[in-house]
Amino acid sequence: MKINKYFFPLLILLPALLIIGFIPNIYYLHLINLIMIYSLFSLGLNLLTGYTGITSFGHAGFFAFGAYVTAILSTRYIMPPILSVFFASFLTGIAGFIIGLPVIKISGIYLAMVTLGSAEFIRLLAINWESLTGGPLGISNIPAISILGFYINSERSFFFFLYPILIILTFVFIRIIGSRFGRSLEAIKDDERAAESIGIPCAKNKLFSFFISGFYSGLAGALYAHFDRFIAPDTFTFSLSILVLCMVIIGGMGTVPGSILGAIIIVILLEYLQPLGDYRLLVYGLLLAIMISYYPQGLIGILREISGYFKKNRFQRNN
Amino acid sequence: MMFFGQIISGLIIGSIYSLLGLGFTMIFACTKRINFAHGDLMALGGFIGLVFIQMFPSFLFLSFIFGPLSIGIIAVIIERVFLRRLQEVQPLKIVIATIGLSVAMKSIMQIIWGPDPIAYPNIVSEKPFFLLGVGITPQNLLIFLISISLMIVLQCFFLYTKTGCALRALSQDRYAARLMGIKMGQSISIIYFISGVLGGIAGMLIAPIFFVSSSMGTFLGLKSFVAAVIGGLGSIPGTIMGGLFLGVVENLSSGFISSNYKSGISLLFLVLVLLFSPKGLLSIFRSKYFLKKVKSKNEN
Repeated sequence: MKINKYFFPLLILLPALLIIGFIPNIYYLHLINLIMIYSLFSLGLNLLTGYTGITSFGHAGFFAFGAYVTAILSTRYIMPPILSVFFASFLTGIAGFIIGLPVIKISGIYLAMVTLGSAEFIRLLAINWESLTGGPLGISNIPAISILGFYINSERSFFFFLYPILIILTFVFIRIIGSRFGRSLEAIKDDERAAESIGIPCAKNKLFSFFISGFYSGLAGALYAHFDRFIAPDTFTFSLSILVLCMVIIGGMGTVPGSILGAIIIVILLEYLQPLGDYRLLVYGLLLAIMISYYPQGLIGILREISGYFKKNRFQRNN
Repeated sequence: MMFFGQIISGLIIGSIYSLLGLGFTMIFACTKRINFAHGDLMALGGFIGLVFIQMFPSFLFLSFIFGPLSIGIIAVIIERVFLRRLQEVQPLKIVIATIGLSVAMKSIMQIIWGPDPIAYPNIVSEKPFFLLGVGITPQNLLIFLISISLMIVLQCFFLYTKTGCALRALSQDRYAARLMGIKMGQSISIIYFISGVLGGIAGMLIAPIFFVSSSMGTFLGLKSFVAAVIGGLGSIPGTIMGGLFLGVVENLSSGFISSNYKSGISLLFLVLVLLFSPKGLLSIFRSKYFLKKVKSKNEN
């Protein structure tokens, strides 16, 4: 295996970051947990939007699906939460596959509308199928995840539970992107016809990327359900889909650190702009519009440009 | 009897959708891009119209001119500042940018005018007349007539004026159109202006029925976009037909199935149409019509 130049720094840095879990302030820990959940979520969307070039306006639907499946399984059918989380994310992947089926025939904005429609449909189901989902009141008293008799019911324990999951899944994500499959997705994004002509099965790969994206988003939703212990349909509206899209675009489409950076920035903005009330949405909307039209590479792109500038200067100095 | 009543009230709602859908279609026809902020431009049109009406209460007519015009100017400004750089790249980026703008505009309206719906002065009399047991207010009839006449005016504009011709050329092949000396930036500004004016008119006409609120743009905008896609995005008669069709289908389904899933049904319908006839329902008729035309030409 070829060793990445970041491998050893990360090997030291990532366990060192576990220190965050000992922050005395529970509120900060809560924010960090939210950031990790949203990072998973935005990684899921990034695979579709950043790598495959399919924009989804309905990822809140996947998030809701995962959350509802695990909530229903663990409250009504007394499934152990750790199993139901896995089951929910797998089912969400399959739901993503089914919702992505139109990809065979349509693309672009029409596909985005299909995802939007399906998210709306999932939300309507959650509101109207009261016997199963509890209707507009939602599901409360979702049990905490337990591993080997150890209950993960505090912010601190949730951090130590979630952190390894995020690290592992991020590495899995990087491996997927670097694999033959991942590179074929980027080929599809750049030019679908050219990709098809060199023998890439476009429809199949796109569907599989829908599956993985659904898996990540559903996992984020399921973890969110056990984190908040309460879910209701009005959490999973269109604005949640926009929020995730904001994370992906502000962080930088098609980059893994971008998704995580976007999640950090958006969650912090979400919390610290709370007193602004209505102005908050104004900030998001304008950020989204300005970023996409002036800095389409996102924050990661800007950082890279800055570091590239310094590198060039050093090169010039040496000569 | 109930069936016909449902159809008529569906046509009334549908005419609102088609009036709004025209704005989407105009931009799509010329630039192959979608302006998602159109619904919010419509809501803004309602609010700005209200401001003008309160400013000149005795000249209603003036506010009906200045309101839509100012929305047109706002649309042009938005296009110049945010969307101009995106005209050349991936079409979806403009959609994302306009969604951001729509969120921003909604919150601006919420800050200025508050979250609650505001009642609107009625322009025509409120007394409904009855047709097959359904009360139709003159306002509804006005919307229906205006959207049909706008459709005719726009169609004429596209077919018979020089600017319209330039816009059509731009929609077919923008590089060839540029070689022929058509100014692309200017033409796109014109199209955004027209669609903004249409949005402003729609906002002022719809406001007395739904009241103006900052959130009405999202709901109505999405529905009318669906209508435009169902009819055939980019074709003006298609949009009108799609709007009327969607209104009828929605009303019938909520009358005979369940009203809880009303918006879900329209989106489901959208998915079905996209799967089986992605260019819209009108394209089915058009292809047959087109074939006949070619045949008759060959016979001559």
